[in-house]
Amino acid sequence: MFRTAAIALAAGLMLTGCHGTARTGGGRPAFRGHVLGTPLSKPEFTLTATDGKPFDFRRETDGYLTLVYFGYTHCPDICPVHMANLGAVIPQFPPSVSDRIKVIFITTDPARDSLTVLRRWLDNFDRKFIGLRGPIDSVNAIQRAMGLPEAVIEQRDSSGGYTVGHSATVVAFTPDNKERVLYPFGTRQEDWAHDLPKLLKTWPHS
Amino acid sequence: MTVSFWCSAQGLPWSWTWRPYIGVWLLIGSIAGSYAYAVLRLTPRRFAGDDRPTTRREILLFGLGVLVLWIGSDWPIATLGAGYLLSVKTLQYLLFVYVAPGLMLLGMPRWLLRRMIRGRIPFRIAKLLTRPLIPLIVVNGVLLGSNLPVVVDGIGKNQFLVFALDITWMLSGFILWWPALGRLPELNPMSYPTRIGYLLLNIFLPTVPASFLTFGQFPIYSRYELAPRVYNISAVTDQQLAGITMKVGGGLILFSAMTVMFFRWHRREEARERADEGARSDSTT
Repeated sequence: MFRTAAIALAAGLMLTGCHGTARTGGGRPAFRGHVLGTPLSKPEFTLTATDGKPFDFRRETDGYLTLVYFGYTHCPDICPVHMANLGAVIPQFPPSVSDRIKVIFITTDPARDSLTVLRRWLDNFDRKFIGLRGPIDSVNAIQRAMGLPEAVIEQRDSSGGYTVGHSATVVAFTPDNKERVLYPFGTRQEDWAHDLPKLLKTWPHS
Repeated sequence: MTVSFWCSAQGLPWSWTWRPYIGVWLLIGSIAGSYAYAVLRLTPRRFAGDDRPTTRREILLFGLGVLVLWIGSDWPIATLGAGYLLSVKTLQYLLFVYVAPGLMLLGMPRWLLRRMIRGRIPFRIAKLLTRPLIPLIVVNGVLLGSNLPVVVDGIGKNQFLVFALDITWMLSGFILWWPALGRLPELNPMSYPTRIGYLLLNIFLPTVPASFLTFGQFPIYSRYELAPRVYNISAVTDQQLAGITMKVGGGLILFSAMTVMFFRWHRREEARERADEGARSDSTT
C-alpha cells in the first residue's frame, strides 16, 4: 500500500511538473510541502456533498485555502492519517485562520462510500470536513485535472473486499484559486501548522 | 504468517493476528533455562555465611520477572509498541526497566549472585554499580537517549536495532535495581535512606521526557504520528498517555519500592534499638 502510494505520489509530482520545495534566501524551506513551479488553475466540477446537495467546487471554495484529498473510507493506512493530522491541527488555529480553510475529501470508492458512510467517517476527524462523491469516471477526470494519477482497484479478497490504489497527496489550492503546493504522505502536524497560515498570507484572495 | 526474529514497525494496519518472534522465545528460553540449570545443577552442597538454598519465593519472583519480560517483548505489546502506539512502547519500557529486572534480581539466591561476580573484574563492576552515581547516569542517560526523535524514528523498521534497544533497556533495568536492592553485604550496599533518595531521584529525572510527551502540542515522533491508527486513538492522545504512563506508572512502581524500603529500615532500626536496650539491661543486672 505504501509502495503504491509512493509510486502514485511520484507519478503525481511528475505530472504536475513539481519543482520541489520552495526555499527562502537563508536556505530554510519556505514551505514544507512541494511547491509547484507553475501553479495550476482550480478546476471546475460539481459533485454531491454529504448533505445530498450539489457542491460546485469552484464557487464554494472561492477565496479559501482549500485542501483536497482523494481517498476512501476503507483505506487502512494513509487516508485516516492525513485526515487525522489535518483534523488535529486546523482547530488549533485562531478563527481568522481556521475559518479560511476548507478540507475536501473526494471518495475514490463511490461503490462503498455512500454519503452517510462518508459523513460518519469524516466526523471522526472534523465535522467541518467536506465529503464529496460522484461517478468514478468524473472523480478520475478531476484527479487528472489536478495532475494526480487515477485511482485503481488493487486487490480483491475472497470476501469481495478490495483496496483502492490512489494518490497519497493532499493538494493545496491557495485563496487566489491556484493549485500551488502538494503534501505527500509523511507530512506531519507541525508541517501543516507551519505552512497553512503562510499559504493564506502569501497568496491571498485576489 | 511471517516469522520474524524481533518485532519492528511494519507499516501495516493493526490487526489482532498473532505474530511469532523467534528471538523473543530464544531469549526468554535461555534466561529461564540458565536459571533452572543454575538452581538444579550449580547449587553448592554447603552454604557459608548468609548463603542459603534457593527458596520457593526466589524461584517464584524470578519466574514472575521472566514472565513480565516475555509479556513485554512478545505479541501484542511489542507489536503495538514497535509500530503503532507510543503509550504501549512506554508500558514496555516500564516492564523492561522498572518491573522485570527487580523481580529477577530478588529471585536470584545470594550464592548465585556471588558466583556471577566471582572474577576480579565482574566483582569490581558489581561494586562500582552498587554506588548510585553511575547507575543514575546510565539509567537516565538510556531513558533520555532512547526518547530522542532521531533514535525513535530511526530504528522503527529495523528489527535488530529494536532488539538492541530492548536489550539496552533490560540491562539498564538491572543497573537501576542493583544498588537499590543491595543484595550482597560484601559490596557495602547503600543505607536504606540513601537507597530511598536514589529511587526518588529516579522518579524526578524521567519527568523531563514525560513532560515533553504530555504537554507537546504536536506529535514528537513521526513513527507514531504516521502509523496506521489503532481504534482511532489520535497521535497526540497516544503521546499524552505515554507521558502519563512514564510519569505515573514509573513513579508508582518506584514509590512502592521506596515504601517497602522505608518499612524495612524502620523495622531494622526498631530491632537494633530493642537489641541495644536488651544489652543495656543485661549489663545493669
